[in-house]
Amino acid sequence: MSSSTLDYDTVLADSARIQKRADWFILGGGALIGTTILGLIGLPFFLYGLAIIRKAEKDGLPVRPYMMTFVGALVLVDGFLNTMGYMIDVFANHSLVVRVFEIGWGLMLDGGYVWGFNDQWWGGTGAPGEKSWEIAMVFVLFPMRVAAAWGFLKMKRWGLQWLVISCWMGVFSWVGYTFNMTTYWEIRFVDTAWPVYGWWIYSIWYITPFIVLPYLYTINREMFTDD
Amino acid sequence: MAQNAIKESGDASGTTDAVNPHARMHKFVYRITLVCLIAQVIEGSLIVPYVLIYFGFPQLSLTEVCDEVYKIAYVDEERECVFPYPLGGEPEPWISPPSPLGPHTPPAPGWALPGFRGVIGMRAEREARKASGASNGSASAGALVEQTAGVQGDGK
Repeated sequence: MSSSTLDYDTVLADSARIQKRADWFILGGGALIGTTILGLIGLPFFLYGLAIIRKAEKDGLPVRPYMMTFVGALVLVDGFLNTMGYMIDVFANHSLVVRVFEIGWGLMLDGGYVWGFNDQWWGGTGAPGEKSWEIAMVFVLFPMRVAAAWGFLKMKRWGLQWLVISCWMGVFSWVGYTFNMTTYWEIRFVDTAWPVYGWWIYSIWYITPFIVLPYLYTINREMFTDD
Repeated sequence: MAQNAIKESGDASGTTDAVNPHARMHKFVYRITLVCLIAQVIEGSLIVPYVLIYFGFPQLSLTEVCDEVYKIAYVDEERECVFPYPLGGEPEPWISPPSPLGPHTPPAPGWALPGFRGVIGMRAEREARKASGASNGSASAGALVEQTAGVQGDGK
């Protein structure tokens, strides 16, 4: 793109248009990823949206920086996936596919979703402490993280602040959750197909929110000026 | 002109531009998070079909698979996966047979809670009981001490 031949307003208008188009792909792809089962369909759209931003940035257009877009979108997707994972246990624990999936998944990786499943008045997992973490995550952490990622992508000041806070809350919940889970290891990791190592191989990819913390502390905060 | 202004803001934005002092760390964060994202997507897409296929779908219907996993989960051949579960129906433990694994709710502890500073009397009475030896304090022990001993005795 020979932007030197264009006037400033045209460049701004072009950038806005390109960013909007990219955001559609990112959000559409992210929404598909958030459904889990349609994730492989959503991934190319998601990555294509990111590629549009990267190209515009390389062309020197004033779009939101690629890395910021990537981090914001990633946390958004991560928040959606986690909300989905825990919400089905909280709200949909008597749907047929959820019962099959949760108990089946539990028999492979985490007996907390088998032991006493639907055998407490609240339904879903009966593992000690598990429901409390779910409630805290489904009603506080993940909605907050999704909202924060959205504000971050909109380059709002509160978006950056909330993203930092909710990433630290992610650290808190990882530590609390894994210790609670491990305390009751007899329920959760005995007689499952792939005990402890299986759980870690399955779950380690969700550690991203606090891998991005060093990034959030080293970006130019002055760019987040919108209230 | 505009391009220069944009470039400058790009430098300060903390992207992987050469001027960014954290460029290496940012690249590292980027690579890890990209790997994590792709892993999450692949895993998220495949896990539900995999679990269903593992437990016999589509040869068995979803209802049949549900029935089988219930029998495994409760170690109980009689346990059934009631479907559709009546909306607003009672929770399963209200209407299901007791689990052979035992109750999933811990029992109430049944402590003999002393009153305000009652511990002093409890201790004094226990000491007196021990001192009286053979009589085993049955005459002197208060109701509270007896109750406590009873709870301990019942416990194990």
